[in-house]
Amino acid sequence: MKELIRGRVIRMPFNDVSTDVIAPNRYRATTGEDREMKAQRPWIMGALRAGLDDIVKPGDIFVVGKNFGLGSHRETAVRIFQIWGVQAVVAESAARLWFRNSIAFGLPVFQLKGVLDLFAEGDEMEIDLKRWSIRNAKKPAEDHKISEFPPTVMNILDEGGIMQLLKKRAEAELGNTTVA
Amino acid sequence: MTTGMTMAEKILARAAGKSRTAAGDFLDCKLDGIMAYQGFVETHHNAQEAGLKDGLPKVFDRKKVFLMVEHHQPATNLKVAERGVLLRQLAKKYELEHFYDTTCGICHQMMVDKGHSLPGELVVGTDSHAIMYGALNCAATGIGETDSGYAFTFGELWFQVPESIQITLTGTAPNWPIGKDIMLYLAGKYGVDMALYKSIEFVGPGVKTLSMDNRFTMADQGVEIGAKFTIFEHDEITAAFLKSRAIRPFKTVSPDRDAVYAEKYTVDLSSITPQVAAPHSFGNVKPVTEHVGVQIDQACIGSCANGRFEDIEIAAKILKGRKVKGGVRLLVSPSSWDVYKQCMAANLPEIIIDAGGQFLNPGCGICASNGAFMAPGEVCITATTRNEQGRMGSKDASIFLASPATVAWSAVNGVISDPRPVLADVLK
Repeated sequence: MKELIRGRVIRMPFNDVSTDVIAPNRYRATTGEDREMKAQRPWIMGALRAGLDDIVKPGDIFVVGKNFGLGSHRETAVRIFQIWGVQAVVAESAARLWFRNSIAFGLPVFQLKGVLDLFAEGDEMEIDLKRWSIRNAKKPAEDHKISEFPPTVMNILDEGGIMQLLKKRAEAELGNTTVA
Repeated sequence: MTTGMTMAEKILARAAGKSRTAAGDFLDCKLDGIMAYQGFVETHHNAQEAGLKDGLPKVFDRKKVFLMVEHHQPATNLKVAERGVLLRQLAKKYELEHFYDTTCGICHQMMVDKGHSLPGELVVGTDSHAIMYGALNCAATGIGETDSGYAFTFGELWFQVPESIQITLTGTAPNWPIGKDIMLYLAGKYGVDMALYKSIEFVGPGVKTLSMDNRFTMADQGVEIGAKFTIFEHDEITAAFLKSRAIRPFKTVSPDRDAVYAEKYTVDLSSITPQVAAPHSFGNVKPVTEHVGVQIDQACIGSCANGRFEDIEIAAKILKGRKVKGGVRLLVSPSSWDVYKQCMAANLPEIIIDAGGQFLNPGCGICASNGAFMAPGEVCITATTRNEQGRMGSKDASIFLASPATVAWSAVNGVISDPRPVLADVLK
């Protein structure tokens, strides 16, 4: 993973946003066969903010409220951020299963209490993984500490997700025969 | 000086091959079981997308994966039917010993009906409500399809040891299901992040007054208040449930007396009254008396939260000799075919049908947006898992969550109703 992640902030100042709200079932095309989520994209978090799909650009960083991603285990609520090309999500706090799925997908999610107060929409954020801190580019002297990921999580993020880690381990342990 | 361990810490330490661990530690753990349902097709495709052309290269233990053609059964559309075909091929390819196809109830109920999740174990499932198995004194939690690929292949996953919350139950539970009311009460009082990333341990003298059905409801809905695990201690009620079901030997787990808890709460079961969560959050809770009179179009009882025998039995007791209010759709769906048979033996389907309700097949349909859809402006009171906006179709529909007794009595009246008077009557 990059040591410095820099990107424009998309600010979603809402608490307890469930995965049902992030990726509403009713806009799902059949049952998940739409891997690019074309049918669902326009409706992501639509109950909170319309038109996100037109606003988000590759490289953006989401700033979200507490307990983000509670509820159902659906991976579409993580996949959408990668489809958009979002680099990272910084949450006041993240719901357990959504956080776990994000790591499995290789999407870095950081937790920082008070982060919503530190950034306005459109601000530039710097996530410094050498110092394990977050800065607003407007106030470069203000460093806000985040928890360091343990090696086991860094390993997954460095590989670009747990499926890539699986592939690497399978190649090492089982040989190349099963791998394309 | 070392302190004692909670149940979550003991289970995770054992699974990581360590003698002890503490909240905050990251561990690589060996899994005792993995439940996967129709989403396993997604796992297969994700593996292919990652460059494994034949999908997952192997299964770590063909006896420890529980694969089910479940969540949308019978197939709700052509795509789901096609997924069924692939699931059958994969079950065969990996020679899975436990594959449930044509007679599958709700995946989580299958896991406990068939004795696949046992005390002291670490079990994961590709669904948030896998946490339900913790009612049987194990550490169970939901994962995603992508994580499950790694789990399936190597039988291992990383875990952060959660802090634990101890909830001591005192008093005596009434003789109707109150698991839902307890969890709604907690969510209303302490918030839907009450147990964020934590393990809940239910202990205390009140636990023995709670049936297994109540405990399953409570463990299941632990995820709605953020929990990673909800764990009950093992007792004679657990033992009786497991007696004819467990498929392998197990070792029960208890917390040490000097275990460290992030928080401690006490709940007096005798004081729990019927609770209702209004749209659109599990935490938007008030006593039923605050919502009495709200007109309803639909009433549901089922899901992994409230589709067990006692849930349906109390509904039948309330409905016996009465009629569902004209125009109200009452949908009752047992959580598995084993539960269905239990209901049949007690003549519950007939009572519910005679009252004007529907007795449906087991499955997630009425809870997971696969049936029981509602039009804009309609109102449902439901004893299922969740009430997010749009979960039952229209985003302009309203979903109220309540216990099966509250749902059944509301169905009779056509408006949200306090079930206590009728409960006093039918249970006397």
